[in-house]
Amino acid sequence: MGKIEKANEEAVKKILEAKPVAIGVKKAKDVIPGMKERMLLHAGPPIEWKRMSGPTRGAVIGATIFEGWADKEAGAVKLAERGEIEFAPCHDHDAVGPMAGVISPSMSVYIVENQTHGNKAYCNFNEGLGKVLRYGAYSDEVIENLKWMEKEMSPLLTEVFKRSGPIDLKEIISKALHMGDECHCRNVATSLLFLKTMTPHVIETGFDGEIISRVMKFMGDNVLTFLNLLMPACKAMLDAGHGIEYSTIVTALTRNGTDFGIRVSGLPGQWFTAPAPTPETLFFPGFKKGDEGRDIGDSAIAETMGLGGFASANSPAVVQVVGGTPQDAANYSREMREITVTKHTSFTMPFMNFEGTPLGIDIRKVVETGILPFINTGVAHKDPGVGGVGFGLVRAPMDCFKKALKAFAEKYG
Amino acid sequence: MTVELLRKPKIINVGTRNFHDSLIAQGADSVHVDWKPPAGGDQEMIKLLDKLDKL
Repeated sequence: MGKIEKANEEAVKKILEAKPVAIGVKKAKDVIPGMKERMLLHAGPPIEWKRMSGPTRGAVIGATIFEGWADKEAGAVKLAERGEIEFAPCHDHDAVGPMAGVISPSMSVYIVENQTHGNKAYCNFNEGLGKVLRYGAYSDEVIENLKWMEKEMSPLLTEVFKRSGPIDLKEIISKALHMGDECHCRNVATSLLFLKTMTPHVIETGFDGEIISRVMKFMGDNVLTFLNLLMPACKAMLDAGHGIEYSTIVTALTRNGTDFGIRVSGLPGQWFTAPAPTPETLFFPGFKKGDEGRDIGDSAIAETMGLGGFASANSPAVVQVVGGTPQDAANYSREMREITVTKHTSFTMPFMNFEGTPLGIDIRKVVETGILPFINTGVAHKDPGVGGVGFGLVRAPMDCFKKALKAFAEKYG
Repeated sequence: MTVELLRKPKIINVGTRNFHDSLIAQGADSVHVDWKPPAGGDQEMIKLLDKLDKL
């Protein structure tokens, strides 16, 4: 066995052994490594204000108002233009954020721990669909909702985790894959299973009934509640396989609405980027072709982990959004086998005779076959301040993989 | 045998799908194999892949 095969085997072994559990909720500034007072984390590879996409700019404006650094849009823009806000990718701080993925210091974040290897990952709370910060909206109602989450949802969840102990996220994901979720665009079963696990502990907190009712209704009505736990769970598992010499395994696929970026296990500390593509989109009522922004969000960490588009066979309904059939859904999962090195041992697809989801994207296989990772995704409006416009399907751009292959050959070849 | 083949040819089409589609349109029995040259024929990438294969 060659050095690369050996390294890849070790990387996926660690990823498979990882056991992510949710252990609590804290303010980002208190737990995220390297988080600073005037710092905003964002999805995707590094990017400066000048090149930020509309939705990322919108989320930066909203987070700046939420933090009280400015009270209006104009003030927030000035701060960003003057370089008075430090920007950094979530991924470089052990975190992940869906869509624009902006995490500010005062936001509460879920803490996920990989019990096998001890590493942690963080993600803020999911705000629901439509006019929300992560899709670039920053109206008064968006800011009010974020403040309510801090005032009522965060304290309740903090107490819930104290009573529940570590909540096994891998188990929830495994079960939900047999309940129609692909665990990226469809997180119906994961969210319900999480709420089911939480419920007795919610009651034990003794919190005011009206607060409990508001929080449970908010989380129950939101079919993506679990996405913000799924993402750090995937991050915690994949980070276990990151930084292994000679490994060509991709440990993050991610986008900031301007660039698409990948991280590779054997090339830690480096980003390989290309222009972010535009997803093929099914629009929410009121939106049309041309409204959509380019691909955005850290949520493709799901595909990196063999979920989402890679587990399409489990959720034909997701492929149907762009007119696909159950057979197309299965074909996407089959196709992803061609660019991965193994199959997951816990995440399986009933429709594929309980075969494991394709795991361990190998940059060599992507370049050699020309098959690009297939991603299910939310789609934001191209302009700041609007919000979500639909769901879509997209492929990662080849240039990221070619650049990574070149860098890999320079380092190890 | 040769006559049989001419009467009803069995065709495996490799690579360009247009040939397969034309055959099907004319009622022929063709199977398409979706083959592409490695790395889409990109010589630089092929060299790098070969180099890494030896590690």
